[in-house]
Amino acid sequence: MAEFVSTSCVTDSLDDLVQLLPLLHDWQEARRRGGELVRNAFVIEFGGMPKAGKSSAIENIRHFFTHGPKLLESAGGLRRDDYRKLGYEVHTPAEGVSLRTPNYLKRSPLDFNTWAGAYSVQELLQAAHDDHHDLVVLDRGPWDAGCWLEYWASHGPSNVSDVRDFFQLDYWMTRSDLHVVLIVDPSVAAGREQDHRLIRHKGASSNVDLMKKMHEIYSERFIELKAKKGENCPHVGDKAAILIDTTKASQVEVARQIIQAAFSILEAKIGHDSHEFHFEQEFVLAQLAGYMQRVLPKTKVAVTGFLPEFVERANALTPQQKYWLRQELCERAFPAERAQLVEQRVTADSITNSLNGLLSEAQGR
Amino acid sequence: MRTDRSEKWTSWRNQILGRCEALTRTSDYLAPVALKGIAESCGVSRVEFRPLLIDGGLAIEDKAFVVFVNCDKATTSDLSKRFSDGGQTLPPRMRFTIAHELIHTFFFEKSNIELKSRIKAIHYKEHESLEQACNFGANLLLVPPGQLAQQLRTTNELTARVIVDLAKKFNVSIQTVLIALNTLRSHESHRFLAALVTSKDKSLLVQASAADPVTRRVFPAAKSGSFLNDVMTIPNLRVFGGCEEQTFYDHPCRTESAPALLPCKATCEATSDARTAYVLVLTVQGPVRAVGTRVADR
Repeated sequence: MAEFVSTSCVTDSLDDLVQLLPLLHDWQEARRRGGELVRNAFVIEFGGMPKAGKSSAIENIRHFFTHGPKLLESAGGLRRDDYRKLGYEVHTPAEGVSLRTPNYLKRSPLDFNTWAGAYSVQELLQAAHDDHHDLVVLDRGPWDAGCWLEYWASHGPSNVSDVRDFFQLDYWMTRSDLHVVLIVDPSVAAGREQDHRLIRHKGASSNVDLMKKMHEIYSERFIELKAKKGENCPHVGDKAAILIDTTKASQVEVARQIIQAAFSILEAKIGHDSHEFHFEQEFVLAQLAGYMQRVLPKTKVAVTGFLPEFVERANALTPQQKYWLRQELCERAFPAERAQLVEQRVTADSITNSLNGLLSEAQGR
Repeated sequence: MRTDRSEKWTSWRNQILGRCEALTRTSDYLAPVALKGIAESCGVSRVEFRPLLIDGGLAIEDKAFVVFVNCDKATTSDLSKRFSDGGQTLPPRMRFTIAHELIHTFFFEKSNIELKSRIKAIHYKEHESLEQACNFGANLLLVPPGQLAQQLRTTNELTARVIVDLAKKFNVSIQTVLIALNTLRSHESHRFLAALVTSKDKSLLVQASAADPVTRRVFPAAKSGSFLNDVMTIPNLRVFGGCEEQTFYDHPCRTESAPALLPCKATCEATSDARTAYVLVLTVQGPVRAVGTRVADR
């Protein structure tokens, strides 16, 4: 039985974000229409200091993308048949450092972090080729392992830097769509570690010196990360990496910033795909095909005769307008694969008026 | 050939009339007519609301009819719910589209294997006749003649307000009410001319009109597409820019080739707040009198 979620469950501040949920689907559609044969997941890679709130943010994001579409459905805002009505498929692989890396490797920080980094490389590669999930959220990627190795470089053998450089290769840094780096004031991190604990824990976040150094490393390396990502994806620019100081931010605020960043990247990517998209008569005809099966020959001739003008005007639109028009046309295509129109109130005028109406609406956007 | 086609379509219209009477008799009698039950009786498995490039269409899916209706994507769930509740609260235009498509189902026969159309409609004129027949049937479904006649029987005077109220009662457009009034065989004792008038570029255009057969002869120009000023001018009336919503008016006409006047009461009512469309109704108040005779007391 489908779970019903009332819109009142959404805080006011997140309601506007819920409305943007179809962007993830739209991006996949834009890629498909752009000729991409392989479906890809959107990849968010987390990194940052212990107790900065990574796990909470990841859980919040997972919940938002899996449950958010239900809110859209109950509000009547679902956009098309093949939309994943009950939520996106989100994959959040287990974090490597605390859950996967053998504990006994801690005797050698280089080996421990190399193992954790290698695990994250595997997860990143799997995410980059994931054609099942819609969204993959990595808790610590290779870049994060590189930051820790930078810390140990000043405390260990000289070859640590080489290993660090491997994990911070441009090739890895640019494989994820969004990098999220969370930092926190070391004293606040220490406090968070002790909260809710009966026995005093002596993890990394209790080590104020280590935390101060990591705060510095993350902040410095982030500048390079942001520049590299911006260089690699000029259409997305420096939006592809965000640094959030969670010292005073609530978990909801942090999640909101990350989701906003993800949507902003999706919009940029969709706009880029649309920029490269060129309307062709065949594309428009394909969207009209379901309507044209049983129309009179003269209607077909009149509609076909109108298409060159329509295509010319459509290609003169801005990328965002083109994207909107393309989406509308696809959305309004008759689902001929499951039903055959046998009677329809179709005249050449009704089709051309609709197409002209969509063009005018696109121009007004 | 033309006569043959006319006979064919006359026969079809009679069949439509009979089936519509049967369908509306068995459905919920109270207006507005519930379309959901009628759709089920017509073999329609589902009415699907979705963005389309056309108003609507009838499709076959898994050997059953599906009616598709164009709507904004944000309203699909709401409209589906309203239809599953009977369809009485759907917007008039959508109700007409659904009713029109339901009439199309009459033109199919069901064999064991498939649903097969009984009309080829490969020629433009035949296609037109088919569409007109479906519009005719849609009107009958939405405003059943029996129910309309009942309403007229309980109405003392047919005014613009009454027409607007009828449209609300049946949840249909004003045009549909006017067409239904034209289709009615008996108008009881009502003698009237009703028109839907829109204002465009300072001209008043008649969009649709209805009249009893006797009064229609006095107003031959009151047809869809004609200018209202070619039919009548009543400066006091709001539709003409005046400030009255009702007034008395003597319409110039001829009786036995001599000039005469038809005494009427004119009422008008805006159909929307924008006041760009009006219902204008003339109700005949007495017999035609030759010009020069004493004005009868009204």
